[in-house]
Formats: sequence, C-alpha cells, structure tokens
Amino acid sequence: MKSVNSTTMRLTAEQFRTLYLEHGRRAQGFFMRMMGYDVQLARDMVQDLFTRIWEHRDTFRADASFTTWMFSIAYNMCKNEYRHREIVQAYQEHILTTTTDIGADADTLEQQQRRQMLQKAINALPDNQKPLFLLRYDEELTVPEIARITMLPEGTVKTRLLTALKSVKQSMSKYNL
Amino acid sequence: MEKDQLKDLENESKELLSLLKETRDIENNALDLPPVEAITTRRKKRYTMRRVSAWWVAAALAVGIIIGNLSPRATNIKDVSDYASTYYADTCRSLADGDINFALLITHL
Repeated sequence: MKSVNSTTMRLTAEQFRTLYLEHGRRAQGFFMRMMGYDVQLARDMVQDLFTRIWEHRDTFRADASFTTWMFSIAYNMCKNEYRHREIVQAYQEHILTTTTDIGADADTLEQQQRRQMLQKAINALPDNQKPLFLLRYDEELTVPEIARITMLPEGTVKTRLLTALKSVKQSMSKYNL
Repeated sequence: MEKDQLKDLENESKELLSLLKETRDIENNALDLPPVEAITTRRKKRYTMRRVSAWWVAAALAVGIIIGNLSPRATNIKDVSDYASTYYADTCRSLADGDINFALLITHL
C-alpha cells in the first residue's frame, strides 16, 4: 500500500494484484452484507469493483487512502444496485439458506442465533443508514472518511449513525447487548 | 452534541460492536474470493464488448452515409413517386392515391 500511496498515481499490474488480494475479501464482505447476503452477487460485484478500479486507476490520487477510494466506488455501485433490486426480498430468500452456512462450523447454536439476529437488525436498517453503519462499524472507517465516501455532511453522518446504532441495539436488547 | 451522543452510545455498545466485528471476520474468512485472473478476463471482455459496440456504431453510420449519398435526392413529390415506383410498386400506388407514407419517404430522403 505504501508504495502505491507514496510514489505513483497509476497502478501497475503487480500493485493491482497486491491490492486485490489485500482488500478484495473485505470489499466482497461489504457487498455481501449490503446486498442482503447474496453471496453470488457479492462475488460478481467485487470483480466489477476491481475492474472499475483498474479502468479508473489514473484518477487515483497518490495522497489519498486506497480504502476510501475503493469504498467510494463500492458505495456507488451499491446505490445503483439498490435501484434495481428489492433488497429486503432478496435477503428473505437468502437468510434461511445462506447465512446459517457462513461460519456456522465455529458457532454454538446460541451464537448463531445472535449473529442471525444481528444480521436481521442490520438488514432492517433503512437504505440511508445501512451503508453508513457498515462502513463505520464493519469497515471501521472514521466519520470524516464516511462523509467523503457518501458525500454527506459529517453532521448528517453522525445523526444517521446514532439512529442506526440505537435501532440495532434495540433489536439486540433481548441478548443484553 | 450528536458527536458526544454517538461516542457515548458507541462506548455503551462495545459488546455489540465486538460481536459485529467477530461476525464480519467469520463471514469474510468464509468467502471465496474470485481469483485475480477472473478480473483480467472480465476486463478484457468489457474492453472487447466496448470495441465491438464502437465498431457496430461506426459501421451503421458508414452504411447510413453511403445509402444517403447513393439515394436519389427527391426535390418534389413527383421525384419521390418516381423513386418509389422503381423499387416499391405498392408505395407508388399509395402515393398515386394520395396516401403518402411519410415514414417511408423520410427513410428514402
């Protein structure tokens, strides 16, 4: 990453490969959660994301964070996808089949239930809160970074995060979380 | 104000956020990341599709220009009628009857 950020604006094939291996899984996870646990769609989207990154590698500013740039593109892709899909419906179709399989081996039944409940609570967030919530608490980005990605004022980001976190906390209250 | 409230709530929700991160790690580790070669293939495919599309547009334009230049220029309704009669007897009859197919006329002008 340092070599990419500090010296050059145009990514080489080798740098691209390194970035893909370093950030691909993270981006795919973000897409999967954003798209209601549609694993196949997330797989397609991560490929599409990195295709776009390669095509727009000239626009990458050397002093900028690659993560912020990547999530800016990813966020816009999700917004476009939201316009075409009924995410809630997709989630309901996939929740019973997919989410229980993801990492199920390592979990006890109670943990699985808690995770499923958490997934449901996040997925139930409105479209204007969910990406902010995932960027902040899943991807651990700062409020200013999220504001840059979503092109929203920082105050709006904070207000929406507050509402979203309250809502998720409320849904998880029966687990004392 | 909002910032403080948010920070306070985040501090109160440490256990919840910890579960969230734990879930994220489990899910991300279980993901099957497509090989980097898949990106290269997709990139080439997109490039080829764009190139083919550009060729189709260019070819359609070229054909349009050629046809436009080869077609007789109709200056009045009789010219159009003569031209149409050469190629389309039906259209000619329509023209003679006064039932002019403007869409067809435009196509040939």
